[in-house]
Amino acid sequence: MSLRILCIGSPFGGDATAWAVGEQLIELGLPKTCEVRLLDRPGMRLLEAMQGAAAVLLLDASQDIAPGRLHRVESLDELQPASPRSSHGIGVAEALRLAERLGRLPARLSVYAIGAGATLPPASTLAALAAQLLEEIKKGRGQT
Amino acid sequence: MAEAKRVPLSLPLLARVEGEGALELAYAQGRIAGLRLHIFEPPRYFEKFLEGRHYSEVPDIVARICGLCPAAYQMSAVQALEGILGLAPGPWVQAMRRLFYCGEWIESHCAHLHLLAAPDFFGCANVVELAAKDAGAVRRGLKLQNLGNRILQFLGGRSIHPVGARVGGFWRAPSAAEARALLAELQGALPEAEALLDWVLAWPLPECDQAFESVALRTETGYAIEGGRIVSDRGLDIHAEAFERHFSEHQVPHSTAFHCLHEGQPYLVGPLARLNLNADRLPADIRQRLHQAGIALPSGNPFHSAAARAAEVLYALREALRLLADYAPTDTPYVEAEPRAGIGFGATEAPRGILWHRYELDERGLVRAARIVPPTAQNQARIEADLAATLAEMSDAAEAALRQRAETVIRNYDPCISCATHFLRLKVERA
Repeated sequence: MSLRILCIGSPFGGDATAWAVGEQLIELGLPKTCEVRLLDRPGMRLLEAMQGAAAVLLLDASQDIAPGRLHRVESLDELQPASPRSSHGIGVAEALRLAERLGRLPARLSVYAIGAGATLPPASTLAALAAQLLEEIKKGRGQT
Repeated sequence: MAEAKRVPLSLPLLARVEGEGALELAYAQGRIAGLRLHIFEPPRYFEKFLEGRHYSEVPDIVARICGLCPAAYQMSAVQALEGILGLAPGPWVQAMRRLFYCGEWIESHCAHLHLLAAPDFFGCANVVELAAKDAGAVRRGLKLQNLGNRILQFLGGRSIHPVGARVGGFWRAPSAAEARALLAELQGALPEAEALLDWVLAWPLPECDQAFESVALRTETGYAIEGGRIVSDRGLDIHAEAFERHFSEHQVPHSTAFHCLHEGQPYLVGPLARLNLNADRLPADIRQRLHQAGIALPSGNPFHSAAARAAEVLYALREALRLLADYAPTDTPYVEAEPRAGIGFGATEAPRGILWHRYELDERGLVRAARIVPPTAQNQARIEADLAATLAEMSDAAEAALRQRAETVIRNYDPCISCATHFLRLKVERA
């Protein structure tokens, strides 16, 4: 089954961690049915980015998790609301909740938070995170 | 004055606006004794960044000022720079610039109406709650917003910080097949833009009547978007070049954004100002629908801005269809220019109102000086005046009601505080 991996971040410091892990996943060699997209602070555009995909794996950096750790989000309730400073107060949590209300969540969605600090983790940590995610994807955990 | 009795109200940053700020409000003997709209976003120095840059770099740099109205920044800039360089792009470029701008109006107005404003009128905290009440309206809004973005992408390569525009025109002309595909999408969405206007016209907008000057662009024919003379309902009629002689920006201690005044007085720019000055240029059926909804133009009710936005979405979509109907690609999507020293001025109608630019180039075409006056800076003093008028009768109101009304008033102007220098912590004192 095809899988769209959406890596959310920005070019700034540790916020680019999901992008870096996405690039590592490509280098590791993903199954042909997987595609990786790097999204720069998509806000509501996350709905468009998920459109047409039966399965989505969403990666985002989080400062609430120890840097270098991978955390599988089990419920949208775990997601923190957007900072009031974010554009229009719309972050990943709001976009996913809106998608849910509008019936536009993909049939299969998994969300992973990657612990990030102020700067990008070292290359070895990024490689380890990508390898861990690849295992999850191969087990099918990334599509449920 | 009696000594102020401090009633500290701790309210969060204002939600659902583009940027950060705070409102400080003091009542004494039931009357407003002080009102200050704080903008504390740090200055962004774009005008200084432009100094020393080649004119050809300006459109890509100014597009970075705003994620919601980058095309407006590009269009005001190219107008000013082409004035210096003696360029007069032909009809293809002129038509495509108007189309580009229509995309931005649709995208920006739909984002504002659905994500920011509508929750205020449906008793919702945000668009997620609104979607639970009226999922169809939110779906429609997001679809229209996305179509606006598609237009921007068509000419700009991408919708956020587009890179397709340049001094002299556009880097490339989209193919006829691309235009046909876009045209089909826009045609399909026309009934939804009509329904959007009906939806907004039924919103329970507050009744009020305030005296203010409306300032907008006006052209010989058509609804002014990408150029025109700066006019007002109090007799102003000037070319963009004369802006600095009539309008002055000044700093206020409580804000990192300038306040811009016309002859020392607050004024309104944006959709309602445009409608007040250019209603005769709107299609009769749109005017008629506004009239039937009880909106008499010119209107002194700032909340009619929402209706103005919805009317402009419908207009812009029809205009986009017109501009694309006979689209043919061109081999010359831009004209080249030789560097030339001089001073140039540009004024276009950004979604939030007039966006004025001034550039000075040296003989190598490098920017010596740049000055940009965004619509939010122009509306700031008017927002304070509106808040003073609206909140004057609310001295005994509960904290929640005060905050809700203050935020609703501010959001109604769709302030892009990021552009103007981000918003609402409310501090109230009562004596």
